[in-house]
Amino acid sequence: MNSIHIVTDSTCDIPPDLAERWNIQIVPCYVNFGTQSFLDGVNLSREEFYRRLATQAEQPTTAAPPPGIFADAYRLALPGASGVISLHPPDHLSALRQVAANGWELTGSTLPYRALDAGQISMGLGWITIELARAAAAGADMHSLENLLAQLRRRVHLEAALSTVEYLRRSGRVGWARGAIGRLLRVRPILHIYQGEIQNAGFTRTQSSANQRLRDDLNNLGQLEGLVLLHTDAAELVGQLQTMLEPLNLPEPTLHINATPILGSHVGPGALGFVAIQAAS
Amino acid sequence: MTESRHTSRGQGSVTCDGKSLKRLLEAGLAWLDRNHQAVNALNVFPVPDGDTGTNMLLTLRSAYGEVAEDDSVHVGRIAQRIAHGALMGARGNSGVIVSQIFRGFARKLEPFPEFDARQFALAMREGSDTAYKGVVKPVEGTILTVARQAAEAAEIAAQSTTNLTDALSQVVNRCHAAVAETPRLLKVLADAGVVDAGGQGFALILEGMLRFLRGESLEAALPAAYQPLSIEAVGAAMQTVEPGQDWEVVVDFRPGQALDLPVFYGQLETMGTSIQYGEGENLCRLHIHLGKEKRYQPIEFIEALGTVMNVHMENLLDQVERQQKGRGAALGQSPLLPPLVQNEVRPGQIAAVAIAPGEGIAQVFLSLGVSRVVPGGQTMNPSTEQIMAAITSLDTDRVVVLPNNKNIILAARTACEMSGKHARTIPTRNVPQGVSALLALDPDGDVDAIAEAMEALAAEVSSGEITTATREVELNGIQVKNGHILGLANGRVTSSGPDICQVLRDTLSEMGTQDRELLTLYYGAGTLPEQAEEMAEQIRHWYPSLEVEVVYGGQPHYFYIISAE
Repeated sequence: MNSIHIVTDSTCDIPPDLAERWNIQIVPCYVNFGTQSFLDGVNLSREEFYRRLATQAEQPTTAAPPPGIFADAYRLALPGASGVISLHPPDHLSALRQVAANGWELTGSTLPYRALDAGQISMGLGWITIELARAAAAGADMHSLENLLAQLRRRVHLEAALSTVEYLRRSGRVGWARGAIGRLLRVRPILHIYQGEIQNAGFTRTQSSANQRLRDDLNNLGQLEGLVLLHTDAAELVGQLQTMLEPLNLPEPTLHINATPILGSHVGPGALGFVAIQAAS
Repeated sequence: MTESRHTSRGQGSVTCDGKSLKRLLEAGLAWLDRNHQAVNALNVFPVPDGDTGTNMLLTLRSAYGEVAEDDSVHVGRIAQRIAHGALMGARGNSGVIVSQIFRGFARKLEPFPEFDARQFALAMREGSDTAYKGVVKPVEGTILTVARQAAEAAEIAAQSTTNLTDALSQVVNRCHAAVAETPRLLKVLADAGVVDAGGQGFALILEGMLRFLRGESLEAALPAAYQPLSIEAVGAAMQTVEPGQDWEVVVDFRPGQALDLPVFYGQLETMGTSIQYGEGENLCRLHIHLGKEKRYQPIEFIEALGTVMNVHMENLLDQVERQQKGRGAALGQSPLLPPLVQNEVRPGQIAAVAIAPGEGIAQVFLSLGVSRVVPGGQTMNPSTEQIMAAITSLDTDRVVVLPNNKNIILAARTACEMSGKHARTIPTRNVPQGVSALLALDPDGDVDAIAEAMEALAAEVSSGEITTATREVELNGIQVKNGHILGLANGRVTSSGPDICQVLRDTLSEMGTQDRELLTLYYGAGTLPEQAEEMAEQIRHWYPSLEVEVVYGGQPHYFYIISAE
């Protein structure tokens, strides 16, 4: 029986083995250093990206891939599909959803198609994508998958403590980071992404108070179904946080993700955070 | 002393009307003015920022300013206006307490066209009670004790005399005895070998009034504690430039004979400000700020007293401009950055008001979301009125105030109360606490919850200060020598010596720096960016895992204000 196929983009941070297992097509985004352009995860590894981020004076920029790349990915997904759902970050953060829809038009397919805003990035988007792919594999139709997405959007939280405001300020995507905060003194902003909104959940000055903050906020989310720890080139911080979480009654973190360069470009290195999925009530 | 019925001066004063009360206040003000430097010198810490006398003087000036043009004879009305003026101009803890005493005093006198010794006693009692109620935790051995004893003396006097001069005479005697007792009641005073400055200031105000009633001179200053600095300390921490006082003059000289310090200071005070005088072996040094037209006067004045050895003159405005240019670069600020502006809030949001003891610190506060900065700190406490003006200038009725100095907390609380807004003081005792507290500022939160979160954050930071000692003293078992570097950790003297590195190292250790992650060094107006960087390198060497940031604070007197988080 044909099923709905799930496509997303490389901001989702889904590791390759999981993508393969759930038959998820991932479209790579562009990372540019000056005039050099790389495809996220294709010809630019995370290690290489963070090495360049730390050493090159020129800051990277990011770009959605052209519609043609999306069209190619959709064509690969079409055989055996009863329809396609394409999941992407919120529109106010990126043009990916729009470009994806343009790519679909190029395929000329008449199958049912939805380009949807998952309201999340990184493994927030990744977790939602995997859940939808799992349900699709079990035979869920377009309507019930859209319902599932609406439900998951209300249960997935992403929170991260950045090591500086500077990258966020440069990226210009977040209003509250445009002010003067962090210009004279080191501050670590805590950001919380929920249902498409990036909120400033406060500031701390030290890594240990940032860690405590993450732990407390995680603990306040109630019963969890899943937990992923995120970082941008700071694996040692993940270890610290995991140790702090041990006494709490939380699910074992399934993954430690060194977040996508697309995210890394906008938040800088040294960020630490989590994606938490609240249990369905 | 209604003059038609009684002699105005001398023995016969029985009642006091509005005009007389105004004259009494003028006399108290004049006497405090003559002697406020002696009050400033009564500083628990041997640091060059004793300001109790100045604060009380400014409070009294504001009180007098309110009635200077008022010729009412109704004493209730005059007392009310004096209290209002004091309340609006109150600076520093002692200033605020004086304003509370006036408030109670005026409340009792409100219905009376004039008062006698009996009503005077009632008003003094009400003043003392009001002052006690105005502080969260009254401490004995301070101006409060002196005010209470004054009230008791007035009550006893009222039983045996109707003569106000007699009554006030007994009150003043009791005040001086109470002031002398303060070191017995308060250990920090005994340790520092001083009496309480606020209590002394209050006694001087009443003594000025008594001198007027007795027809005694208000010109002669007390043979008081003008304390020379060590010659090295002169000018080291005097970098603030008062308006119109653009020139700094430093004169090294050998006096022909021993200087009469009160007279010496008195003369210099007619010329300029920021006066410092130091003595070394065979040499004396004078430091003063003056207007351009007066810049040769101190040299001529000193030539008459002895032999001038050396004169140094500098245009301070030019110097400050040059230093600021150097600092902008040292901070790594891009010249393209827009200057930080006051963060405006919408009605209903929470705004923060912060008191900042330096321009650099003011910038830091603005960068952390503060809406109004009131300049002031240890050297010059802002008045209640200045803080209130900042609160009322905001478009919102929800405000938190960060005093950032223990001597400003009371003034901030009074300003909050008087503002009529939902304003709360976060009792931050220093700049690091203020910075920490601001991390919890959320314009859209609930004022009380935010205030609580801010207070909790303020308590977590460890703070330190590095300055110069201004006199010899033993504190916490540490021998402090005049002119030496002095280190304080969380408000306590922890180290003193000639070597700033050693003092810094001891202070950091006492601050518990080894358990901290991030150290911020706010360097003062008298410290160069290169010196601060050098210090930071030294600290990184001592604490390799510590992150050290160097920030221009611009505060006077203190080489460094330090936070460890």
